[in-house]
Amino acid sequence: MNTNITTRFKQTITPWLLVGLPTIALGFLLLLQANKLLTVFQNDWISQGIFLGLGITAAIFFYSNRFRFLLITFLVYIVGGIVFRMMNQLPFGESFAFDLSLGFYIYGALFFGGFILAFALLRWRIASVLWGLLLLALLIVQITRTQAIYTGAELAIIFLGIFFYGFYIILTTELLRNIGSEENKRYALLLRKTTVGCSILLLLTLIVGLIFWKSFNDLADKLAQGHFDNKDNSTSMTKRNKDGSMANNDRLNLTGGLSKNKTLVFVAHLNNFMEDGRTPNPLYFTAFYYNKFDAESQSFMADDSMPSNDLFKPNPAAIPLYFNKMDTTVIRNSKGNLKRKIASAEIYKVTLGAEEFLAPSTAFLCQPISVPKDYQNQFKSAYRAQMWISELNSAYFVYNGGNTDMGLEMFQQERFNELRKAENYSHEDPAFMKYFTQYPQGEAYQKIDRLAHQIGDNKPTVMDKMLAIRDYFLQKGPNGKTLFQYSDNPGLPGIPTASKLDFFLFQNHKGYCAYYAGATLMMLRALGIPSRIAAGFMTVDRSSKNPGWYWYYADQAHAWVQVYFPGYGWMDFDTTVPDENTQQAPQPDGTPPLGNLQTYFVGDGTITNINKQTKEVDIKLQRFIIQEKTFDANPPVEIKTDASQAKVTMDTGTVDFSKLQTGMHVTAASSAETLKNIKAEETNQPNELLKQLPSPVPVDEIKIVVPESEKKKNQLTEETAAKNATWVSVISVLGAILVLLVILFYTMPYLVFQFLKSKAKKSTYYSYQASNFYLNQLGYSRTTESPNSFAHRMDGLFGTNYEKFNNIYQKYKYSKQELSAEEQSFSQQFLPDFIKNIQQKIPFKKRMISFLNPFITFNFFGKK
Amino acid sequence: MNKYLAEISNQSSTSFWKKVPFSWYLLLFLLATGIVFWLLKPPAAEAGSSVVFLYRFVQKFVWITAAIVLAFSFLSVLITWLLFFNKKNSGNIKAQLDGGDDNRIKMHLQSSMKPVGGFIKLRFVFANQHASQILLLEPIPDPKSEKGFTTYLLKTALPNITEYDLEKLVFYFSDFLQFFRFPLSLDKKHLIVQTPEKKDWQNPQIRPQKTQSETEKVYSNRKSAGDLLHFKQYESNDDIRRIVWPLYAKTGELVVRQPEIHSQYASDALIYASFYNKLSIEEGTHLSLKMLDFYKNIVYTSFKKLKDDDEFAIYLTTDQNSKVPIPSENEVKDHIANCEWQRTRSLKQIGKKDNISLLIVSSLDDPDEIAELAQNESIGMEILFVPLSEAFSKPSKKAWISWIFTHQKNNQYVWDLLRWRSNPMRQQILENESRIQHILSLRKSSLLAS
Repeated sequence: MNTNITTRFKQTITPWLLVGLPTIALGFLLLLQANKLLTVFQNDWISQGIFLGLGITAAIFFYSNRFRFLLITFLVYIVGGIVFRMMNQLPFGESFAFDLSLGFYIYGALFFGGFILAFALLRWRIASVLWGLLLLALLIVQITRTQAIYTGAELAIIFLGIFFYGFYIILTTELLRNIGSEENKRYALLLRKTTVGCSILLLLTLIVGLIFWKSFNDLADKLAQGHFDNKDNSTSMTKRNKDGSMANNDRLNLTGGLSKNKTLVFVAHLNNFMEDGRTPNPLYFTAFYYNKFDAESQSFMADDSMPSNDLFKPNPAAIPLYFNKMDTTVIRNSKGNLKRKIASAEIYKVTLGAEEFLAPSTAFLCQPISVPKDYQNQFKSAYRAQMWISELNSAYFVYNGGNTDMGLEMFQQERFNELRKAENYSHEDPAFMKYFTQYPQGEAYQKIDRLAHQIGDNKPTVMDKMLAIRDYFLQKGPNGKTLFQYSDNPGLPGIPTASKLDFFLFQNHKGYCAYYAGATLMMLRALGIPSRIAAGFMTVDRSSKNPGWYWYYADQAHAWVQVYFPGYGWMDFDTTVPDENTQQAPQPDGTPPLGNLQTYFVGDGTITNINKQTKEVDIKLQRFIIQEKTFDANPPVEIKTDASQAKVTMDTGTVDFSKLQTGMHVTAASSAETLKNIKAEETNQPNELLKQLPSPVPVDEIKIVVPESEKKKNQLTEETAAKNATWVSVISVLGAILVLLVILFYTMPYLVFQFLKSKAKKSTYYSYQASNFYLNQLGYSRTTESPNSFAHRMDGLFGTNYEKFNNIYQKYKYSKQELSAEEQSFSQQFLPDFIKNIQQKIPFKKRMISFLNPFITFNFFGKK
Repeated sequence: MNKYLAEISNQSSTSFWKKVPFSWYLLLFLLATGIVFWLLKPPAAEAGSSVVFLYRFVQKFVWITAAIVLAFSFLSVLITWLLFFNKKNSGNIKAQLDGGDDNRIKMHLQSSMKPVGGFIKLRFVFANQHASQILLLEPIPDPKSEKGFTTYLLKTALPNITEYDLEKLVFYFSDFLQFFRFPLSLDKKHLIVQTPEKKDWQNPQIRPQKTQSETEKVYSNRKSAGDLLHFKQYESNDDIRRIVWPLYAKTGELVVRQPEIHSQYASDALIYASFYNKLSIEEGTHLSLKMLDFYKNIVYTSFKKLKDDDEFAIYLTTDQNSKVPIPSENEVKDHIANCEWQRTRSLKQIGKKDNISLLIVSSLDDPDEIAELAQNESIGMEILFVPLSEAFSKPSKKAWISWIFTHQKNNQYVWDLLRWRSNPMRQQILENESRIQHILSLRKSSLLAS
């Protein structure tokens, strides 16, 4: 009895130690991470881990005592269901009952999940493989969904840990299945095998670690680049492209810190003034609209599928110089027709990405323009944008909160009064309303909802509700200072899973633009007001030297809210309180790129010929512009241009003339005085207008239309494809070799027989070998019989002349006498008839199966 | 033989998976990896982002690490397999099999390198490619083992108590993760006997033999000195070691001490086990084999118990033994293992019934013949009846519960019971048992009365 109990104990404890304990430990780690990511877990990872461990332990106990999986799992499920029903009958309060239910689901799921996992690992081989791969998948999800920063060493530990654990589980579960635990002495063997296996795995882990060490560091850098600039769990409003240029981040994160830098991104001239025509009215430059909120990662995301999409995002690098791309549907989609006008802006890029397009809302046209010669070192490229802007929009909102400028104060009041006239939303498309008022579930957001109603319910108009929210952020605290403050490093709530907006609104009261915009958005949507977050660059008018010119640095990347007013469209509102550091330390702005010459002729086409000595470039025109009028060349017509004084540019800047190649798509622009008077009358034959041009046409700039970044992208794609091809092809080759080996393995008997048969035509020896081989393969081997008696037996079975042949062979082998002609003839013709006779007696299926057994072949030659 | 081999569950040495040099586990691993990565493919919109970089990195990581592990496993198996193959081809591989206790076999095999951290496994292949389960080869210390040989102890776990014609051994070289498994066969002709085992059974009774008193008398006579009662004249064939030299010195006569040899069966017990199949149950069926194994175990148990008592010399014979009765335990085991139900030699044909101390009969014997023996008072044998229905004893409640909730080896008895219940011969067998038990109980009563 004691022995039985001891044996049973060992049967249970062994798999628990080898498989259960490491899995439980891993479970604790996973739960710790899950609690950080998901608020639903409520940061109770220790208890959750215990339940998981209990489930695993229970499964190991049941498995070790050979309980049936389905039955026991079903019973566990039933018991759980009964307990849950009993709990539901208890008289708890609604809130407590909800928490209890949620807790039961979580803990129950963990217990049950651990149960299934452990049973599966011990019972089915595939489970250990799938579990290892699932861990990898979870790792990818965790890295991509969170904004945590990892160092190379941390990534190494995680990846190598998963590698070691994954193969360790495969090793130990196989050992437990193979060695088992029926006898005491097997435990020593199990322990020994596990130790040796782990040592091998450790060695292999070390080798893998050495191979990937650099890659881990690269991956860490890449991940940090993709989401962060700092390594202290902060974020940035901008990101770096592969070519080093800058762009707005397509995701707005709420983190513990915002990293900023003073890199000049672009310079813009905005032709938008107040009513007096002199006072510039700056507008924010928009890159994205964030319409969606992901409650799990607590971040805002762009969504191209938004209804009434009024975001115009052309690629300036792909538009020929001075030609424009226009999309007027955005004007309709902006749903604004009151107090609207067209304004234009010129944007000169410094570090802004070649493909990036920024302009005040709502841009609908983009025209690449030339950078003045003297500024070509500073600005890589430029474009002009036209926008359908609202006269009621302005960048002045919060920053002039001191109301020192009465004009601006009046302007704002007029703005608010105008917007108070906006109709209600009853005539709006329900789908539009539903989309732009969608609100996340959860207790934290319910709290924000209550706050919003508290602030805004008693306000008569949407404008007033918006102002109430603004005033909420500007309210003063008990100490007389504003309650809410701007901070680039607001920190995170102590509980990793807590809502960051909740923490910001109700506890911390510190944050950067994303917090203010996010909180404002939540409150507006809670009040049923369609709103969205816009991201781009905040316009700060710091210099009066060059009115209308604005400099944009990386730290001006910003997020604010847009509210929809029926008839007026989307209006900008910025509730971010002033950052005193920014206000008090103005950026030293430079000299704007003035002096852009009037362009009289622009030709867009393909280079047909280049004379490198004279620097004459022949272009086959598809389109051309004369005096700012665009014409299509019909048919395409070739012109000669004189590019001796021209700069050759791409969107990344000026390049050497030698970059030009025949077949390239280019745009040539000329500001030559000699073209000043060429006419651009409307005509049915636009090609006639070209006759006004001298030959060659002097051009000031030839811009290569295919942007460098696309080329790089193509190159990168090719490189990536090449890299992929390299190890895909290695794997394919290895796979093909493996398949070939298997095929060869199975067809070996057939191939060997064919070889022997081919030799048998001219050789008695091979005839004998072939016949013996054939019989042996079919299961008729001569073991203890003499060759003669074996041959005689075969003749009896198959009706062959094997005995006669055998005699001839014996004579051939041992006798000094030569074979007679008849004997030779017989021996040469023997094999085909012999095979035929056997085939008649043995069905094809049996023969085929026999010939797919290479081990019989090994045996045949092994006997030799 | 075939009827036994059909019972072997692992008739799979011809199956596909036993021939390829890798397990299906490896293919599963590769397939599962491919599926997971297909599912994890990031959307095209994220091309160029760090997500794609991460994804590619993980892809690379997994494939390279898997390749390293697989390459290591593959090479370690391949090298050791090639070494063994080489040795086999040059005829340097010898395997010697010795029977052991509890149906274990000791195998002495030429020492061979194992894959690093891996295994060498073995499968016995019998006639017609029927094969045993794969057994793990782990060496045991054996001081008697020859140099260059390694000893392994294997439990064959063959299904029935009989002799099996081993044809070859198939060795499998496996890596430490058991992804790869390279087989190599070695011709080996051998008879493997699955012998009966001792079971819980009643202690068999043997009737006292008259030779006992003779023996006592001899002992009492021996107390007197100078007796020549047990001496005889020396004859040429006598063992010279038995010459009583003191007597020769005294009398000059060569006499030998007569050993206290009891008459051949006078102080020995002969067990006769009948395998007669009067009911003509179909042989080779699962039930018939089950009953046969049960009967064999009881016969052996009875023999063993009596032998362990050490009161008499115990011999066993059966209706299939054409030689002298067998005294040694190992020979008894082997003989019993080879016995089968037979329909030709009934109890009537037993010669020298007087010499039998214990007759073991089964439910398949002829009750009339048993009755005849039982009623013949001149025959002083004990009759031990083995009701074969007890091979399918009704499981206890605990066994039923165990069968429902667990899949122990004992659960097989439940299935056997179900088959027994549905067997058409069952009623006939039970009736036979009832008659035999009645006959024997009458005999017992009459013996007690006398």
